[in-house]
Amino acid sequence: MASSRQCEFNLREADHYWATTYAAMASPCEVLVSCKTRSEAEELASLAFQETRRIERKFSRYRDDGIIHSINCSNGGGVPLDEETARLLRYAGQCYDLSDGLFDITSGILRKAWTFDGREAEPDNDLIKSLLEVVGWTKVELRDFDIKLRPGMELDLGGIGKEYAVDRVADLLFQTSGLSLMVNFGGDIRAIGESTEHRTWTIGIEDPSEDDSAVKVIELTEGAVATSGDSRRFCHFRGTRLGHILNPLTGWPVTGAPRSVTVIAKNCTEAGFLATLGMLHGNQAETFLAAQDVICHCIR
Amino acid sequence: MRIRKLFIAFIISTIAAFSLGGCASMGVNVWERDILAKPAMQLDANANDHALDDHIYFSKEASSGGRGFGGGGCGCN
Amino acid sequence: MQLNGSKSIRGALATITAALLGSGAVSVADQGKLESSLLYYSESGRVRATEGIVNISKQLKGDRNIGVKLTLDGLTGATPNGAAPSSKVQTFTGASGSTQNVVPPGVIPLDGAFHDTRFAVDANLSQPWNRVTSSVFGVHFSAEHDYYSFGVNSGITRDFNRKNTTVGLSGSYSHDIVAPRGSAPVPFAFLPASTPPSEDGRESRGAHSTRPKEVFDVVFGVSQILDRKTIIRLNYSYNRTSGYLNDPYKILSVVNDQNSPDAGEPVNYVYENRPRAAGRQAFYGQVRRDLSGNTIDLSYRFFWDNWGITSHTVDVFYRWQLRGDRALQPHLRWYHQSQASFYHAFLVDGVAFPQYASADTRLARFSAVTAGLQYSLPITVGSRLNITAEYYTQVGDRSPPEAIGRLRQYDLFPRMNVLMFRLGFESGF
Repeated sequence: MASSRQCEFNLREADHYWATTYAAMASPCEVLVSCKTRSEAEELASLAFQETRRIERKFSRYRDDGIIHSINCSNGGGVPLDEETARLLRYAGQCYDLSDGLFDITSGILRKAWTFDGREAEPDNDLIKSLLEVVGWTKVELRDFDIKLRPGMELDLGGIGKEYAVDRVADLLFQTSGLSLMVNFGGDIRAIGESTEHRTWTIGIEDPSEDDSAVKVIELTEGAVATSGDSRRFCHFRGTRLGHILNPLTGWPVTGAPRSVTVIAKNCTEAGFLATLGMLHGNQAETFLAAQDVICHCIR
Repeated sequence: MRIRKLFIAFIISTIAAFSLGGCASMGVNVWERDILAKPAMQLDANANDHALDDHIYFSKEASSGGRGFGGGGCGCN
Repeated sequence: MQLNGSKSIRGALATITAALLGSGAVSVADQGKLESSLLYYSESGRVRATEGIVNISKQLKGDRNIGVKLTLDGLTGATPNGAAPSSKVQTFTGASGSTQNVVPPGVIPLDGAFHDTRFAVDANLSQPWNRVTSSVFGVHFSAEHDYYSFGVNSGITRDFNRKNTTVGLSGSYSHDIVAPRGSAPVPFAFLPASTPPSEDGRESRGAHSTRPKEVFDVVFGVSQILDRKTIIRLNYSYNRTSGYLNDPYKILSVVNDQNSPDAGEPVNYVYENRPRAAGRQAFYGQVRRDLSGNTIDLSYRFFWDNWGITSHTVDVFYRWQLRGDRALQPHLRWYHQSQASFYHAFLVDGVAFPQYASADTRLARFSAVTAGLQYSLPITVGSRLNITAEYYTQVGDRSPPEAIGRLRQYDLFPRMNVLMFRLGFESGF
């Protein structure tokens, strides 16, 4: 059992920290902790890996052994929720309110009308209309410890799931070790280290149109960075490039959005939410983010 | 004079080699800049210390320049 | 599709996320920086100076950066006035004609004690043009009671090779005004002429007559990352200074020639005379390397000018990282310069004066060594205190071979031992 666990994550030593890497949540995952010994690094890496897997199994839409899957197959019936899921779904509902409906975890089903592999899109307006019937957080009944969706509705935690995992893994590791650390799941990053031996982690933000060149380098002791972008998944429609971020109110991809939005905030969940919401504002991304008074970086 | 000319030629060719990308393979990738980003590795840090030193050496010695401008702006030399 | 205007949801978002996760703070590398330093300088018991600098820089919208630096320094003491020692008492009249400076035998004469205060302001604005290019523009002003300076500077830098190589070109121009106490003396005029006739024959009026000085600088530099732990820099700088370059308070002794009975004794004194222009160039190379968390920095400067001076400067420091983010940094600097072609420790009576002459030992041949130690410690997160002590000494030719008569018995290069203490505070905001 121990050896098979060992194979699933790599451990490497660097100056002043240990790094573990593994694949999860469809992203390359990296956890850097400034511990001194290999055994400490192994213990923390194992903890990080297990917590990441746990959250992935529980909240991924793709897996058939988690709560989200149960909810999506409930066909109108009520589904009892554990404390963590209830908290997360309540948070998603509050995000819906804060964003005036732009951020909606029931909107994932709209992907059935679009294919984002760079091709010319041929949207089926009737399909979009019928999908919109089962989209809308107002159609969800979320009570203290159970949830009821209308038949045909689906929940998709893309947009908060990975960011939540980053924060959970970071907090867990910090509570266990008290060491300065950084968690990076495919560009969604959280650093903790304010009260420790003052380790600053350096993060480079890539320009999506040019590999290997950092547009900006950020030094973070404590805080988070999240990026929302459409450089890899997009389609074309009548000469316009459309990213894969769908507006839940219209069923169509957002137009005029930046190629990528990077937000720096207190934690990854906040940063991810603001980055996604920034993209959802299309042309107004910069205006919206400027009003939030966050440090952010939009690349067009 | 000859030695000085050779020295100058050497420096100029070194500079040319670097900046013309002849050393495009020299250097590091974005994700390898952890150490270089440390405050202690910033060449432009400690501006005040350098300014104070430059002022002292400018007023006590005949040389100036090097790291930055040739000093001056004071009546001390 | 749009929100009703862009309102800030930051606060509400923080609240709901806190409920989801718990609390936490953000500490991103700061966008503003304050650096303030205080220097106390003491030279051989002759000169004492205090200098303070406050330097504030802040990032503005659009990645622009603005910086303002204020400098205040005060100097008291006496420096060698260029005259040579004598076996007799020497008396010098102060620049304004009202004070007398009496020098005992055998002692290198100093000018009368002075007290001077200087104030300077520097401001600069840097602006990125695109991902790889940025420019900076700055202004400078300084004033002391006998010197004013107004300057502008500008520079541009460009990155290559994924920002591994940076090339920079910068230039500065400054117009200075030399306004010596008691007016600028006529070069080679004999003392005691406390108000010497001005160069065009009319008597100079008032306590100050002013002379201009123009300073032009250009620096070309390349910095290159060699590997994960090493960065190097190479600079070439050129400086042209023209106008009034004399030190208005410095003189030379004119002494009896070898064959006279009182060989080496002063007969007269004249004001110094330097060329009206100086061209100075330097090549500078620096390498900084990380050694397992400690840092070593080594630099070398080769300097030469058209006054005949060449110099070498080797500077090394080692930053030893300690626990708790403290550091100890020993520092060593070695310097050697040759003498200016018109440097003369004294002039000889009866021999025609050279075209230019100065006895200012700053133009003489000497070596100098600095040894120092700095202790650096964090005060709060994002702020540090640096405490530095340094010792500087110059060693010159105390008995040059050209010394004649009595001068062979005396030190002709003043002792120069300097103690410096620096307190520096830097903080982000």
